[in-house]
Amino acid sequence: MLLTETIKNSTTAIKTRRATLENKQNAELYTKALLQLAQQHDAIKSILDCAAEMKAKGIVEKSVLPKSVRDDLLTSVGDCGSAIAEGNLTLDAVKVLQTKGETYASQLKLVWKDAATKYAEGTKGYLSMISGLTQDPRKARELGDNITRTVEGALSIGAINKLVADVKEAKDITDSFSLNPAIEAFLKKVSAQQATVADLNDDVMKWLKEKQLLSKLRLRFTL
Amino acid sequence: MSWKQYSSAMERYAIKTDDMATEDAYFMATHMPFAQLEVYRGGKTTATPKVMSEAEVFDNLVYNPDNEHRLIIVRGDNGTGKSHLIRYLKAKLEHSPATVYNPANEQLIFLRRLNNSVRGVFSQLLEQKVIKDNDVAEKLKKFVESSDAKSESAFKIEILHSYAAAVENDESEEVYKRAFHLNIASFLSDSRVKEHMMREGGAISRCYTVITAPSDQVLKDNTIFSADDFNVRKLLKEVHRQGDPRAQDCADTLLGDDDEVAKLVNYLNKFTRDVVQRCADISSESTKSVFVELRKDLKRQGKNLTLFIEDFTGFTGIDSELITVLSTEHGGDYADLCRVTAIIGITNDYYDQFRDNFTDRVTHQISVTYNSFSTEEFLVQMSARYLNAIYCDPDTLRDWNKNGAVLEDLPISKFAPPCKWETTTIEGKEVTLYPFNKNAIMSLYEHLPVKSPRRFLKDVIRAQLKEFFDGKEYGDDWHFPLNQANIQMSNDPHSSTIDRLESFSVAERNRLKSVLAIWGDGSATYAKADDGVETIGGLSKEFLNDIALSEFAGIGSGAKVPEKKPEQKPVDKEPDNKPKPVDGATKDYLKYKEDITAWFVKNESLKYDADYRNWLRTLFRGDAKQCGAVNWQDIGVPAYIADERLADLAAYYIDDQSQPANAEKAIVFMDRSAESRDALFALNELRYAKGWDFEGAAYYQQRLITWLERRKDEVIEKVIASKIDNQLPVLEWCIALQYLKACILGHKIDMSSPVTILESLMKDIKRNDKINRETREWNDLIQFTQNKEADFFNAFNMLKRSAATTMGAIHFSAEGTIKSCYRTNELISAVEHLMESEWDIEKALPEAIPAKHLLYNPATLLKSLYTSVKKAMAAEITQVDEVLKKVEGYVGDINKDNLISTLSAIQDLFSVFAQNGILGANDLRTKYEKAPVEVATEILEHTEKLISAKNASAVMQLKIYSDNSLNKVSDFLRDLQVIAQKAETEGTKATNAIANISGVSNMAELSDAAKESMKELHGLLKNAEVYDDATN
Repeated sequence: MLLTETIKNSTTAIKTRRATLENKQNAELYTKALLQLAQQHDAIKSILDCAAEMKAKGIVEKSVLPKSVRDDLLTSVGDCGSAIAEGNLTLDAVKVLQTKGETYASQLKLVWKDAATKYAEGTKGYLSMISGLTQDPRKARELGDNITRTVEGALSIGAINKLVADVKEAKDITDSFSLNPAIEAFLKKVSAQQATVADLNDDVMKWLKEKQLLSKLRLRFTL
Repeated sequence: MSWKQYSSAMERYAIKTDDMATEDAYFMATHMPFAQLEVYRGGKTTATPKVMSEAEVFDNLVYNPDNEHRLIIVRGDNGTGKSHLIRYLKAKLEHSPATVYNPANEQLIFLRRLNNSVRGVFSQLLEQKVIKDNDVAEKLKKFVESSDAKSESAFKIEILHSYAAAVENDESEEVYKRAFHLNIASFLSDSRVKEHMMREGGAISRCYTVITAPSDQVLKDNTIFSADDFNVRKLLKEVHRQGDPRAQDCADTLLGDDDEVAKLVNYLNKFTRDVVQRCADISSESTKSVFVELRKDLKRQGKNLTLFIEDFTGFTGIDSELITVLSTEHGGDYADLCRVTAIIGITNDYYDQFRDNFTDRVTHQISVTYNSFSTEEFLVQMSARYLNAIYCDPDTLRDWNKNGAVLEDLPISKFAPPCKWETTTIEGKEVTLYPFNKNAIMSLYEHLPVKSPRRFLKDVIRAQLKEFFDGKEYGDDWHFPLNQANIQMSNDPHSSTIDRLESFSVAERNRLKSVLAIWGDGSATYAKADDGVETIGGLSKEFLNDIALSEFAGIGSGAKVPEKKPEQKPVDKEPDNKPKPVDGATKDYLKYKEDITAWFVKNESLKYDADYRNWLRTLFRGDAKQCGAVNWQDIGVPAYIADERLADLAAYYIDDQSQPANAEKAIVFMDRSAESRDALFALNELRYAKGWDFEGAAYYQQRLITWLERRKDEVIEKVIASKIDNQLPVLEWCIALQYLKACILGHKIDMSSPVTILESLMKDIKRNDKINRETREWNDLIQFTQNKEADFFNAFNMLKRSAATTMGAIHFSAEGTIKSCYRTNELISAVEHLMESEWDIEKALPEAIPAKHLLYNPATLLKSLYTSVKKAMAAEITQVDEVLKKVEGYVGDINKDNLISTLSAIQDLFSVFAQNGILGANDLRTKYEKAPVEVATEILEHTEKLISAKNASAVMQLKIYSDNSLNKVSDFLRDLQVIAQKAETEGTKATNAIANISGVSNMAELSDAAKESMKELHGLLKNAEVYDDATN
């Protein structure tokens, strides 16, 4: 065989091999994008669910999904959908959607922390004040700690439900511990370590006796 | 008296073969008194001797009036006159008056050397009735008679068995262990050894001679066994293989061990005395008793004993006993023994060998030395006495002897020489020396190989006189004078002239030269004295006439007789014996002269031929100091060739030289002729005189030139190995060799003109390792040049040197550092001839080329080179066909278009390789980056060159292929092969890779699911409660 023919056969085969390899690499990238897109779908859906649940549980009063965010997400979702339809979904397109979803998730987390704190702070504060005076002070303190952790923790449907449940239980405890305003004022001073002997008026002394708290009262000088 | 009678008197009476058998009258008439005898007291030789005359020796030692015990040894070398002295002393004693020697009270016994054997001694003892013991006498008589009756072989076997028995019975272990004695005895008894020992000249034969030898044999010593008896490898091997075990053991010990052989020889010789006594059937005691009884008997008779023993050697076997008995001093415990005066002749060698037996027993030693007889006076006197005795009437001499042989009364012959001749005096009476003169006597004596009175008498006086008498008697075939010592005339020109006398026979010329050399003054100068006496070389012309050389007239006009004629020198003048000091150069000069003369005259081999050949070399070749005698370059022989051909001494051969050489290979051959002799003489004279400024130089020059010119053409033709007018084309051969070597090694030769060609070729052409050849045969050619590097170098050297002109002696051409002018015309002419022959001169080379010949070596090399070139070119053509065919397989017809297409495709291929990251073949990619048209043109040029040479001659093919086009095209082919293979390999790899690339699974399902999830998410978002953050 003449060398020119040998060379021709050889170069053709080499070029074909190159094209085939490139195709395979593209398919692998497409598949990877589909898999990542599935993950982003789940993440964004979870955030939307949390936003809806916060409002449903009364943690927030109104929707926490800004329209602009929703529109951005809609656009990206629409782009990805179109790309899938055309078979040219890229990792970049998925990355755009991911970025948008994660941005909103960060915003919602702040909203959650703020809204959850407000939602639990009254009950949690009172509980904290009387926790030592309750029948089961440790449980009362634990309940307060749990609420704090949930508020500071990650947002999820579970966290929302747990917050709601823990606040309700704390409220039940404080409700059972009814106080007149003078006693309540005294206790607040004690909590603030500002109570003095002068605050031990008769009402206070009587209440202390009723509640058999005299032995728990200690005095000391503050210099 | 007639010449025949003189001759008869000499042979029968005066100078007999056995001089001891000489008749008393002649003995006394010719006796020469010893004047300088060295006498020692005791047996030691270290004492200072007292010098005595023979008369003093007689008076002081032989004459013994006080009856002193005397054991006198007369010792000297063979032929110095010991026997003569003893016989004279005995005769003098016999002739002494009764007051000195009285037979009534003095028993004189004289044991002669005549029967120089044990048997001879015993015979004389019996004859002289010395043996008084009847039993002993009977035994000796029986032995003497039985050794006559017994066959030689039976006696020898008896001797051998006696040795074997002596060894076997030897109980001492001083030399060998007892067991080995048996081995030696078995070895001696082996039939092969026995035969070897009994061979003529073998140990047992020698012993047989010692015991029973005829009377005229004189034994040098009595050492029976010698190394030659055992150092016979074949004999020892045979005994080793076939002898009995004991003999084998002995043979094994001796085989190849000289020390063991010497040890055995010494050991066996110890038994000689026992063996002799055993064979004679006499014991040591009975031998002693012979002389003891004699002495006792003489004592009883009131007599003393004077014992003369001429030669003690004959007493082997009983020598020790005899000495013991004779040395026993009479008186005291030995009062029953008579007085002994013993005078015993012994050679110096014998005395040294058995000195232990003698030292303490000998009372006096008389040493006869060279000084006793070597004086001029002694020799002239001796000659005169013999000549007088020969010329005398025998009866007159006998009468004189009968009358007491008184020297003063010695008869003087009436012999008259033909001319006035030299004489000497005996007791005041004038005696002629004719035909000798003093010159002849001394010269002949001095040239004797062994100088002794006996040798002088026999080899000079008797030998010369015999020829003289024969010549005078018969006259037609003269041999006188003999010149065995090759004594030459001192006057070489005269000698040479005689050699060229064609009217004389060679024998006559030699006789004439001998007479002039030995008798005369060494020249052939003719002279005429005022009284009309004519002389030639100082010799009377009458003398030359008398010896049949009358035709020679001498050389020269002869105006004057030399003032001092040799024959006029006073004989009695005190001789000047002091040797004149001779310097080394003179010694050499004389040595060479003698050697050259002996070579020419006596046909002896030259001893110093290496020196003479060296002289000849200088003559032809010159040396650092002088130019040679042949102007080689003038006659068209390059100095280098002349020098090389004549440098080796082997190029010079002198007939009958002593150093072995191949005369056939010699360039300068010197025959044995008068001309050659003269030439050598001339060179010797030249060497001695260190130039041509010496007496007779013109003569020698003429002789040398004559020799040279006669041989010049022959030498020249041998030097150039061709006829002078048809010299070998050596330069052409050497240039052709350079040309072929350059082509083989791929060196560029500028073929523009003969001059440029010469310039290209007059260089040392070395191998270029970067050039690779495609065929084994071409590589063999290269290897051939490497293997024959020395031959090529020599040829190139010859080219350079032979074409160069040398200033001065050709000797200087050997120095390669000297710059020379090239004879360009010769070189150009050679190149032009080679060009006409298309550098192929194989057919013009000689058919028969001598091996290893300086001039033919280039032709030898060229011939073998042409053969190799043809073979290599045939292989190259085959290879060219194969390569081109293969290239066509890759590119199609080899033309520019196809080559460009192929080269372009190659570039494409490398481009695709680069784009696809295919590594390797970078060198090829680089190599073919050039424009295809450029590469194609180059390949095409080489291809066309290869094709064009296919029908040319081998040498032309060599030249065309020399630039390695085949390698270029082959390289291209190899590239194509590599590229094709690479292309195929990569193509196959790509095809296989494509087949192995798989698709992505579930991609469709994933795509559908994603599509659904996006729809869902879209729905969720669409329906989600939102707040309008834009308004806030």
